[in-house]
This record gives sequence, C-alpha cells and structure tokens, in this order.
Amino acid sequence: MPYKVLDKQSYKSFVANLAAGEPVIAPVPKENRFALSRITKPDQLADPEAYIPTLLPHKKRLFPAKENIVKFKLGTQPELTPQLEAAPLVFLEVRPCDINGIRQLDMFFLDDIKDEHYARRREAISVIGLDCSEHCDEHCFCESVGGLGVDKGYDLFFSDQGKYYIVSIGTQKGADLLEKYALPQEASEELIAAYKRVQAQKLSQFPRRLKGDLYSIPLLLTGSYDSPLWAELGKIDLACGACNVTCPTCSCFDVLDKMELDLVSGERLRRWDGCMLQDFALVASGENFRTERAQRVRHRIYRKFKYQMQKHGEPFCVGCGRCIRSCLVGINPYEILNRLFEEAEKTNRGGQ
Amino acid sequence: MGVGEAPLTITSPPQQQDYFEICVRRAGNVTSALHKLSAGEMLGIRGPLGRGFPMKTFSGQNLLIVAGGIGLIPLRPVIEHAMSQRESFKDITILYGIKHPDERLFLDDLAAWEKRDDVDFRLTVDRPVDGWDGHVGVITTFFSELNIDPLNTIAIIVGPPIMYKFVLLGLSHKGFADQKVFMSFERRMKCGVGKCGHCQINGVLTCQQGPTFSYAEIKDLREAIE
Repeated sequence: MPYKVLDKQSYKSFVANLAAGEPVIAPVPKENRFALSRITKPDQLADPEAYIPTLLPHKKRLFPAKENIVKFKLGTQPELTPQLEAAPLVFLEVRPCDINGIRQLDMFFLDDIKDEHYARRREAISVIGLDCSEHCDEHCFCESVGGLGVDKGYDLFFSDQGKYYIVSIGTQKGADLLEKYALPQEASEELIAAYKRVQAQKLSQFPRRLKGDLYSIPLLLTGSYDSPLWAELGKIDLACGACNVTCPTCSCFDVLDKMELDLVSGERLRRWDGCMLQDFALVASGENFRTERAQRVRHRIYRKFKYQMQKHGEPFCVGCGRCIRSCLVGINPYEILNRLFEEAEKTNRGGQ
Repeated sequence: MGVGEAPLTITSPPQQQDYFEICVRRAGNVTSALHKLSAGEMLGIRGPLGRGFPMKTFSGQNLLIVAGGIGLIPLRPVIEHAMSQRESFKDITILYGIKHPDERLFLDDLAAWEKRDDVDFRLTVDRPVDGWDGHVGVITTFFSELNIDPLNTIAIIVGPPIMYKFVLLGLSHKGFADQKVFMSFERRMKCGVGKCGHCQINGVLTCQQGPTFSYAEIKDLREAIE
C-alpha cells in the first residue's frame, strides 16, 4: 500500500483546497454533539480531541432517510422514470468505525442483488478517513468487534503522527484527490515502519474486550435464543427505533407510493424503517410475527451478530456506540454480548 | 401504481399460457384499491419473485394437499397442475378447511374435484353451521381416517400460521419425514429483492429464498412456526 506524508500545515491547506474544489461532507460541532455537514473551510471541522461519533452516520448520505426511487405518470401509456442521479461528494475525516460502516453497507447493497440507487450514489462518493488514537467516549467498543483498524474501504486514510500525517492511499481516486489538492511528500521507510508500529500497538490503548471470541458469537447466539435476557430487555425497551436510525449498518426500509394532487403523476419512495418498531413484521391479515419487544430486541442483535455475520463473515456492528448514546433505557450490544458470554460460561455451553 | 405494492400469488396453473389469474382478499390499502378496479383498467405487476413448489421433484409420489382458508389460492395451481399430469402422481388427496361455508373459493373447481374419482377431495368447516351437512371440525380431524404411506407421499400445506402448528404435528404422528413436507409462508414484503428486511424469518429472506420451503429447511428457524 503506498504512503505519503503531509505536515500539519499542509493538511490544513489540503482541506481548504479540497473544500473549495469539491462538495465536502465532514463532522462539525452541533450543540453539544457533532453532525455531518457540508464544509467550505477547515476551521469548521470538529476538534479531533473533542470528537465523538456524529448523531447520524454517513448512511444518511448514501441511503437517504427518504428517497424517491421511481417517478411515474399514470395513463393509457404509463411512464416510469427510475431516479438514479447521484451528486459527487467527498466524505472527510471519516473515523475507522464509520469507514467500516460504509464498507458493510456496500457489502449489503452491492451483493448478488445489486441496489442500483445505492450503487450510483456510492460510486460518486470518495471516502477520506482519519484515524483515532483512543476511545471517543465510554460508549464506543470498536476494538471489540474488529472495527478498530482499517485496511480497506477508504480512498485516503490520514493518521496523525505528531507533527505530520501519514497518508495511506487506498485507491487511484484517492491518489488523484491528494495529487490535485495537496503537495504530499514521499514517506520514508522509517516513517512507514514507525506508523506500522503505532498501528500494531493501537489495540493496547483500547481496553474493551468481549468475554469470548468475536467469531464464536453466531454459535453463542444459537444457544442464547431462550436466554432470560431478552425478556428483561423487552421490559425496558421503548420500541422507539432510535438505535435503528443511528446505526451505520441498519438499512431496512419501507416502500410507499405518493400521488400528486393531479392524481396522474406520483413517485415511489423508500424510507427508513426499523425492526424495533411495533408493526415492522405485521402482515395484512393482522398477524404480527414479532409482537413482543423482547423478540424485536433479539432479532436486531441476531441480525447483526448472526445472520449478517454468517453471510458476510463479520459482525454488522462497528462499535461506534451510537445506539447506546441514543438509547434512553441503556440497551447496549456490548453488554448484551458479554452477559450472554457469561451465561454460556455458567451453563458450560457453546460460545467459547 | 399510486397506491403501493402487495405480494400476491398466481392462482392459475402453468399450463394455462394465455393469461394468468390472481385471487386477492381485500385486506389493506393496495388490495382494497384492487377490488375497486373494473375490467379493462390497468395495474402494474413486478415479478415473479422467489420460488414456487418444486413440482417436478414430486413426480411418482402420492400428494397430500392441505389448504386452510385462503391457503387454497396458492394451492389451486398445484392441484390443477397435478390433475393435468395425473399420470405423474400416485394418489392425490386434497383437504380443504374453512371457518364457514361462505368462505369457499373456486366453487366450480371444488365441484369438479369432488366429482373426479381419481382424487380424494374432502372439505370441512371448523364449527357446525345451520344448513351445512358436510364434515365439521378442524382440518386435522381428517388425519385419523386417512390411510397414507408417509414414505411415498409429499405433503403440501398452506394456511394460517396456527394451522401449520397442528398439521405439522399431525403429519409427524403419521410418520412424515421433514423433507417430504412443503409449505408457503406469508410475511410482510416491501421490496421483493432481499433488501428491505421485513420478510425475514430469522436469517432467511422469505421473498428471495421462499416463500415455499420444505419443513426440513425451516424447522430450525424459531420464527417460522412459533
């Protein structure tokens, strides 16, 4: 993987040039939190020292909360126009958890049944990452779910090495952006070696550990279907869906048609839906296949740590902690997994 | 277009090539709008999605077809197809259970099936009704009187979730192996292409991997039958 070097001052001018030349989306302060927003100047960026993950992840730009997928005109010759335009965007200062979140959305939407709407938008987006050196706050657990280090999923990745940044170039698109908006220096062998050493030691600065092997979780969950934990969580759960909204990998949606007042033209929309909501699995006959909150909490954990994990080889959770920060009753996937590992340990079944 | 989409099933057999039929119960927005359409009006169809019953693999076997209520709709093409290739199958038994005689669908077909002597067709209503002199009782009440060879019979069952529970139990008492029992599942489907998440039965996407499954395929999925 090719590396370049930018000193701190040059990084500022890179951001200034980039933001002047491209539509750049980056974390900015919003009240006492951070949000993704269009920036035009480097001083709008969130202070990396104070940064915690943005209220909503990059998902909202890749897979909008409400999206027109087809425009139509009814009549004897109905007209259907798929909505596939996508504007170019550059995501700047994307943290490792969110790089993984974007990569997992890619895995989901661009698999054997490719989602064209997502694909077009994704193609127009560049991802420029920024490394973390410690936990954002008490809620992240990226290191526990394999989300700490990133070696793919970005076009450029910046890592703060004191006086300078090491830039890892992930794609040609990234190389071109760097070339166009900065004057990077070659990275010496020593610098690269030092950078790799820091990367290798990074895990030691992130102390949260699951009480069992990450890759044993699908097996752990197989044996935990009837755990009393689900009923406990079902009792406190508010079924508000805040975790679904804020999760970088939650991507369930509803589809609905909307007619204009002329009753001739209209559009088919898809909008975010959430498996935690009461009527998510309700069918027209009145049968609801997940009436209980406990069933829905369990489904969400199983989808991330079993179903998607068995299909794609990694948990569909990046440990960003957004669901925990947004949960009013403190439902916490990291604690759920550890509790299940403990239960499994006690009953001496699977998971270890 | 303009109201929305609903997942529906084709109710005419594949050998009927000129046109196909769908049979729709008025239940939600989309199906209510469908019921208001008159002949000659246009509607949009996207599909077919998912997979049907693997009829070819059933040839040479007896068929036990169990339909509960509107579960007859997806089973009608199965029955018609089997009748049109009658020599491909051994004994054919059709059990049709409804709550009330008024709920009978496809009356002409029912009469025709009843008349045939190469098909054992039985109808039951759940509870006694004035003027009904046919069989009364839930569909599983037929099971004790059926003489079935489970080793050479395929059971195909479609009905409400509660029926599956009891029919599966009955079939297992009769000695049916899990891979000889086929069923179709109703789940909420919004996209039909495995993305929207609504139709998931544990890790299985009903719209893509189903909606028909053998019992062997789904018996470990706790959300399928419970």
